[in-house]
Amino acid sequence: MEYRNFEQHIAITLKSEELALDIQGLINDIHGKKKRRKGGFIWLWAVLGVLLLGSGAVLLNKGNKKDNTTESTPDNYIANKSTPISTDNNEEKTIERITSDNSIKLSRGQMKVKNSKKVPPIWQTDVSSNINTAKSVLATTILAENIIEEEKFETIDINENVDLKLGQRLGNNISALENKDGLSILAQQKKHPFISRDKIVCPTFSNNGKLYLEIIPEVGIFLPIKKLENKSTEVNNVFNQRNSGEKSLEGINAGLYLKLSKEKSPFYIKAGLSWSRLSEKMPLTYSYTRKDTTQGIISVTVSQTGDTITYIYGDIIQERKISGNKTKHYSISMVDLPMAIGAEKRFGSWFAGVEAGLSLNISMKSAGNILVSDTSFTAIDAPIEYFKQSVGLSYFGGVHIGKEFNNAGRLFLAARARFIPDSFSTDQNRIRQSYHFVGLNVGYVYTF
Amino acid sequence: MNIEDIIVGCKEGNRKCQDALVQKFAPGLLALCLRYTSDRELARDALQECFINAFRFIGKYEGKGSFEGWLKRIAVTSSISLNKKFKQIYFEEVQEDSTWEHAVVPDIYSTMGKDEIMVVLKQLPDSLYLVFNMYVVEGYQHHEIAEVLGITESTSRSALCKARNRLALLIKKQDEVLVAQAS
Repeated sequence: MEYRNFEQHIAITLKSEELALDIQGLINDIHGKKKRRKGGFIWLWAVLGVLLLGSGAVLLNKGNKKDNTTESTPDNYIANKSTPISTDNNEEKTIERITSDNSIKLSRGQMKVKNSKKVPPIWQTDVSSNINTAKSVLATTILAENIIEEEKFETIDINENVDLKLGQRLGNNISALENKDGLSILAQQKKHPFISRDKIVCPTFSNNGKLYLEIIPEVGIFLPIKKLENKSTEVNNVFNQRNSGEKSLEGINAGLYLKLSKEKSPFYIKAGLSWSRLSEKMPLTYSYTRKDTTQGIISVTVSQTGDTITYIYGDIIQERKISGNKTKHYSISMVDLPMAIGAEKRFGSWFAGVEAGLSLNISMKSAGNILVSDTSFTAIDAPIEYFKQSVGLSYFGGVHIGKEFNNAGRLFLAARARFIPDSFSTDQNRIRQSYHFVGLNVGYVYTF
Repeated sequence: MNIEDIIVGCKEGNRKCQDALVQKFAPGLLALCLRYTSDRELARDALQECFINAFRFIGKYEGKGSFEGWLKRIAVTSSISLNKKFKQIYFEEVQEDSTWEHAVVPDIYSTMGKDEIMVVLKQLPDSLYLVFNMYVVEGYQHHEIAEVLGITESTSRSALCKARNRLALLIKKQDEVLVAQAS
């Protein structure tokens, strides 16, 4: 047989070769490759976040305005017949509802307090517990200034009763507050120095507080809980090796959040930007035989019949057994837009809370080397993508505990868990790689 | 469903036709991919990449020439590019005489099965094996091999000549061993 015929035999035999494989698995992998458009979702999410924060602020502000209206509405000053307030005209028994229309016309004597409560005298009351009350009284002071234009107030020194911080907060208006009969405890005590504790009354004020915007920088560490799954029904050595040998290292996380809360309300909403980075370590022990072929051509010319014949002796084949150990790492960095709602309760200067929310991954980048065969690693940024560029939506929840150190700042420690339903690996990757995170974060809440 | 209907359906993005295409060609293409990659896992990855690219670019297939040939070329390209990541292949442009032209192969070798053939072919250096496979089995021309592998046409010709020489020699040596054993 001529050599050319032998070559034809090789071609025909190899061309007709077929190998069995899991076709359905291959089909699933191929169709899973179709990429989703994520850009639109990112913008949608960002807009949603802004809308949520914005609408939250508007709603809470609206509530606040409504509360202020309530506070300034003279309904609070409808006299209670059983406990008449001490005023310049205590004999006045007429009950008249004050409205915005007639408020200017009414004399101070006509102003009464509805739902009055008896409170201890100021010297028996902790100043700090009166701060919020004083704030509310301040709001009514402004109303009173509008109503009683002709009245001149005396300024008295309240530093003995109110601490410096409170004075700074309330400013000069607090001094005016004291002289308003029927509007402050101080006024009552000034008028009746020996008034008994159970005789002092004060108006009922709204529980609704003002809106606070807080900024929260935080850092933390987390433990990635990894799950590897072989998507194919075929035996996958790489999967087996990675599943048994690849180890998740501790991840790091940093975030910056804006938190919107309302005074006296335990609930809050927050949104921000979060960055996380996790690493994987893969030690590999390998052993294989390497075959090197060196060209060893020896030509011998024999001239018996005048022809030149060249003999070529074959290659020198050397086999070497190669074994060794190597350890490679790869890392995945994520940028997320988290949004959460939560509740917080104070225990003196301490506070504790719970929160839960959604997080949209807007970017995911991977780097390093990943195992691709029994003996070799490859760079992750190779032509075949191993990890997605985004894992989409995830869910998180957690609890936190903290301590207030001053009026503007609080330090907290949070334990969080994050559930990421989507796979980190691309659809074409035959190993599905997913994560859940549990971690600890420390942060500082700065209140504006 | 014949191949023409499958192609038309694939051009329209019909999922059933795409699945039918995979079912029809995957076993043969996997064997092809395996010839160009170091292990079965890489071959399967290459096959998957091949079909993804085929569905993406099937609109450019104008019906000129064999569709299977078009698909095989995608598979070869996918396999080679994937294999390049793990194994660097060097080519030498050393000319040799075409001694294979005078070689005679015993008839017994015309009954060699695919496994036996692969055992012999795998003894060739990687660069020679690659060019031999592309030229002899897949039917590539030298300018096409040069384009895919990033070498010159003369390097491709030289590699093919060397591959043939070595293959003929391997067969001869093997035959000598067999004759010696028989005697």
